[in-house]
Amino acid sequence: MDELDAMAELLRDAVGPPPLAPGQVRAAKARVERAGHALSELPDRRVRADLWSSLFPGAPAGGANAVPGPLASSHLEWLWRRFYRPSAMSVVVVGEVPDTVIRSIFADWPTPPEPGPPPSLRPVQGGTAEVQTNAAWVGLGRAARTGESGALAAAAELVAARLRAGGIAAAEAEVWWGPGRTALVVLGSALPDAPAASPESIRATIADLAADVTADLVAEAQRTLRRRLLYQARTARGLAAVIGTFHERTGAPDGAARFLDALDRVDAKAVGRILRALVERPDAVLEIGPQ
Amino acid sequence: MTALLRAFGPTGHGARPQRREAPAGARLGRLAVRCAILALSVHTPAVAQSRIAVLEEPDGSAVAVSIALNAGTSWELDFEAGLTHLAARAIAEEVRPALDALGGRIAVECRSAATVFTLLLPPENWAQGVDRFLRALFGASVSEGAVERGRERLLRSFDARAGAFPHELNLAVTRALFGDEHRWARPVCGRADALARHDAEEVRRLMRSRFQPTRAAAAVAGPVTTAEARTVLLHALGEDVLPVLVPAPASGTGRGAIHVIRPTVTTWIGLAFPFPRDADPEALRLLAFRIREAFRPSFQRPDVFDAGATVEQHGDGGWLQVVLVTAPERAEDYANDVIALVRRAASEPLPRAEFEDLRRRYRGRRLLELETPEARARNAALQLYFEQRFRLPSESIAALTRRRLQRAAAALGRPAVAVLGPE
Repeated sequence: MDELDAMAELLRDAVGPPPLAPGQVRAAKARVERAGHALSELPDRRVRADLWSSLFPGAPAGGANAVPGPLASSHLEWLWRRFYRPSAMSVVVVGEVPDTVIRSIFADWPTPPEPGPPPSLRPVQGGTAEVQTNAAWVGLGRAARTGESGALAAAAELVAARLRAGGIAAAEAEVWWGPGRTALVVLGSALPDAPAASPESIRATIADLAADVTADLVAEAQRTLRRRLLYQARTARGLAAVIGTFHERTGAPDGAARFLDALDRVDAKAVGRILRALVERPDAVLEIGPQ
Repeated sequence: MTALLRAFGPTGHGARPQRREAPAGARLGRLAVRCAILALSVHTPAVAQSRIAVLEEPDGSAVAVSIALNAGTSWELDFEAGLTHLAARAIAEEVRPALDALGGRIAVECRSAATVFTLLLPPENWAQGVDRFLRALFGASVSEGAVERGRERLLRSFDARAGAFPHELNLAVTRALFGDEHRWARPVCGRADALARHDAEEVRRLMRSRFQPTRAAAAVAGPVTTAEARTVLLHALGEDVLPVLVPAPASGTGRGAIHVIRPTVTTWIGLAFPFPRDADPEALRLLAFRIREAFRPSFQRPDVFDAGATVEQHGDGGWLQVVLVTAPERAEDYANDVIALVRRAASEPLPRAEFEDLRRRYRGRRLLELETPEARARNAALQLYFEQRFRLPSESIAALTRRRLQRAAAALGRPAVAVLGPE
């Protein structure tokens, strides 16, 4: 139990008041800016960031576009007071620890002082760096209702496999979880001599799949997704990450279990409907050409 | 560095004159003699223990199975170099489509003393996957296509390691320990030139002779019951309590010190401290951890770029291997520091508080290494194989004492040294 106490103490320190000496703030800001600009030079990051902005307008992008504006120590302190509150936190503990012990450790979790009125923060969008790529990058995405997450995940699994089988080796299909909505996003890239990864070629591949998706294909996708999640959850860290990620996405502590239940109920009809919508009316299309 | 190499070579076995190539007939004769020596150098445990371990983990979400097989590189004749691992890879390729269909994965590891297979499967069909694998492993019916796919993967891995300093240093360390032409000083996964010559029939022949159920120790970790896991494994392995023989190297004739000259900007040092059969593996792992901590790169040691320490086992003990990557001008000092640390650890126990802190950090690191079911199954299978018993790592670590650490350090012999770097 000593280790658990030590871990809790480390966490307590981590969510405590941030170091706000001017030099520390400047150094942290420089690190974040450098990382943000470096990431925005990568084509997949740029495609993802811009698609995110199109699919979830107004939602903070994070990652590549999160280049901070002219932040001062007072801004950081306000952000800490506003967001680092126990009511905004979730704790996932995996291991042989009695529930009562866990509750006692986190019962008196420190609460920052009230934040007061927000300082005037003017977010500065990053992503101004030139993208460096020798391949054509394409991304297209379509938003959907949160309740369709199981069908979206199965559709994404099938799309990625079909695109790769069609020669677009660097193809990915993902489910994104935004505020109140989800989205199916397809990304592809191809070097000049490889099969083209254009919006048309990707749509054609998805259209073929939408036309011939079968119950067997969907069942295979369901099995693959279920196993992937269970394998990820085979370690304490992996299980905590799965539970925490789905909690964050859905707001429900049992979000991961609910997702697996939803996945079980998916049928070929629902997957076909999502695929057809993605072909006919994508909400966002992004292309980046080779320089 | 020259002084260090002089200090450690030749060893007590005496310096050996440069070998001249012997005629083919004489080489065959020598091989036959070595076969006989090897056969005599197999360690048989005094008491036959179970060779199956089951780690029941009811909350687990995957089942891992690991098989440690007495079919390592050390059994190979020179012309066979790599045949064992090719056979193992071919089996993996043979069963891969079936495992893929079940959602399973397979990994193969080549060692001098053993070949290790580790499978990861979903709980609902793990038994089916393991049964399919064990039938392939002990059935000697691998297809030519699987052999070719296995060969292709192996050759790609050889390309990747060609000229890699860690691989070259490991070879130099075992040569310093055992001698240039010793079986245990060969590349553990074989050589590309020899690998190209083996056909599918040779692979099957090797499987028939060495991939035998009686040569295996096995472990299962995951949401299974002991009864069902034993049923699945015993169906293929047969008897549970057969002693698994573990190969041991014949007497070494190592030079004790080897310098591999390379135009590098860093110097790589490998130290191999041999230990006897009755040494304490868990305490030796703790000592290795202490050495890693003491020499890892830090602000205090800006001229150390990497540090590692591992425990290598065989049927007659093994060796604790330390690898340091340092600035060339400081390499000798650091090598001597490692030796001095081992000597200090052997001469007096650590202060109690220091030992408790060390053990706690080691416990954390070790349990993190074993966080996946496949790592736990592999660890259990290797423990059964080398030590003929299994004890949970958390219990083994809890039982460690300052005296055991001291005795483990005292059991280490004079190290063989290999240096890779500039002249």
